[in-house]
Amino acid sequence: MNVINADDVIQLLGVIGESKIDSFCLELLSLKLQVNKHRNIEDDIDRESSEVKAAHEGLVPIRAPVLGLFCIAEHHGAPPFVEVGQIVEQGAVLCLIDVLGELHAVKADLPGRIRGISALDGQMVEFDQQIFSLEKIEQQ
Amino acid sequence: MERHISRIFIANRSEIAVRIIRACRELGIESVVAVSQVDQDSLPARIADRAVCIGSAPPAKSYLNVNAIVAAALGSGAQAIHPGYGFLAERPDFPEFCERYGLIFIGPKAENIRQMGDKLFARKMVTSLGIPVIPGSELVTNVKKAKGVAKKVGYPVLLKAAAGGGGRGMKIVREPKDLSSNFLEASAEARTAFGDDRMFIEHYISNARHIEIQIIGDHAGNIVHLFERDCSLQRRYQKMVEEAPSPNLTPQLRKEMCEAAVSIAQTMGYVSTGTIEFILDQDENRFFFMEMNTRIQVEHPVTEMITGIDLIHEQIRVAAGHPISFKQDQVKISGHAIECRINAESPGADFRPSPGVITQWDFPEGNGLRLDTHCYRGYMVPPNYDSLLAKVIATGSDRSMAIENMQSALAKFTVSGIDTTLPFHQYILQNEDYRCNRINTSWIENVLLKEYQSLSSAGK
Repeated sequence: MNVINADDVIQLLGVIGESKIDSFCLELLSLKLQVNKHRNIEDDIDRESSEVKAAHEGLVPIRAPVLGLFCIAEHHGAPPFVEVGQIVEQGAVLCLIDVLGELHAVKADLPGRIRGISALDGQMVEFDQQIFSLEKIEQQ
Repeated sequence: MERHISRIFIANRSEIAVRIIRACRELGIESVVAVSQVDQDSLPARIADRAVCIGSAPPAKSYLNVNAIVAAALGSGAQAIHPGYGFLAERPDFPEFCERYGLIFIGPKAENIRQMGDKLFARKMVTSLGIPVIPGSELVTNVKKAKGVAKKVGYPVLLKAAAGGGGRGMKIVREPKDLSSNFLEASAEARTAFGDDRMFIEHYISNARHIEIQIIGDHAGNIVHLFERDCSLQRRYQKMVEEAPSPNLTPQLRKEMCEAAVSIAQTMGYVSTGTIEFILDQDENRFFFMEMNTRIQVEHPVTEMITGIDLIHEQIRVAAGHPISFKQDQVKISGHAIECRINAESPGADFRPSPGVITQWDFPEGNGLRLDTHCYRGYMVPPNYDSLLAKVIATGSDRSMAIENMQSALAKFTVSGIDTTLPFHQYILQNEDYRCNRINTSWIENVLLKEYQSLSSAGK
């Protein structure tokens, strides 16, 4: 039987996070995993529909420029770079992607409001995976 | 020391990725495959337990992108990486990098790869074991030195650009009077093509067969050979048809070559699958070490078909620290196997690549037939990578049966939407020289292609 490791748990959380599941419980040997989601409209994005939604609402997808670990904050425990609903300037750092210890900053190409974050902190994101959706705002 | 492998990250694409995923399935191991952006809908992506997009289409951004591959393997929870063949399979720093991050590299030790990648080191090591190497030289920098070396090495000679490879930057010189001009031309061409005019000289064996011995080693120091493959049918140093065993190889030569291969692998403390390539001079009936490939090879299926041994299974077992699952005396040749490498190329147009959408892909069922492929009807063959579409493998109780089964398979194998080398393979198989085994490594280019091309243009 395969052993579940920390990476598996992170992947599982990612899958749950992206799905419409509200509540999840897994018991396996000495592991008990309980997940309850508080749902907001902004959080209700799964990978496939986020593209459609983005196009529909004129949202701009922001994609991972490299594969690596998604870091919503500068380090563990620090406040996140951005939150859903936040307005960001062009060039603002939205997250870091950690590729074997080398940190790549992902910046907003344009000013806007963060409408969705579709990756979990510490989760691996793939090349070109959508990680944010941004609502364009005209800069005054 | 045994290490548990429950998930393998496959850092490759196309038919070899499918092959490795299949082996993982059979062993109850989870498979995660790396895909570039254009391979996201490929067959490996569909059949692996998980596909991870590592970069954009160009190999440098994807299948050669070491950081992305190792990060993806770690991020997907794999314990081991299989490099396949090509790409990173023979870069000695890659297994070292894997080791740094606690990942098992399914292949030889970095040191083995490095040693055999240095052609001068390989020649010295093999010579010290008393195994013949092709008479040749160190680097030759001027005409005077070239003349001396050529005389020593013996005409005809092959002038080779040190920075060349895959057949590029090579000139055959048959007589001493032609050496000067050819040497100057070759080094000038090399300077233009590679930015490096350094040359070396080898004796040219004009009536040669390419015979390679498959070996496998484990961490306990066991080395076993799985006999030979004959890969003499080549065009521009690319193998087109391979078979096992080598037709007409005497038992004595087979024994000597296998023993030589094992002794090379043993001296190196070699681990995993590897292939020692020899040139057999058919005129002198002598063999010479050419080089060693420190990876699983494209043509491994023919060895599997005649021995009944699954080489990818063994690679994975060995990587996990287990010993090879069989002893030398259990390896037997049974029957004959032939493999045709079908490429997306137009044989009538100088083998120009033919990428595009496959609109029909029908391979026949049959006893003793095997198809290793990643293609299917509707698949878009991308232009970014090599053109191998499939390996058709046919077996028989003897060579004539195998040829007959291969001809029947090729005749029924229907591919539309792109050009393939199928018609050229059919042309090879029906040829009398091939069937009677009167061939050598220059046969396709010097004899068959000329006939085929005049047929093609006559048909226009």
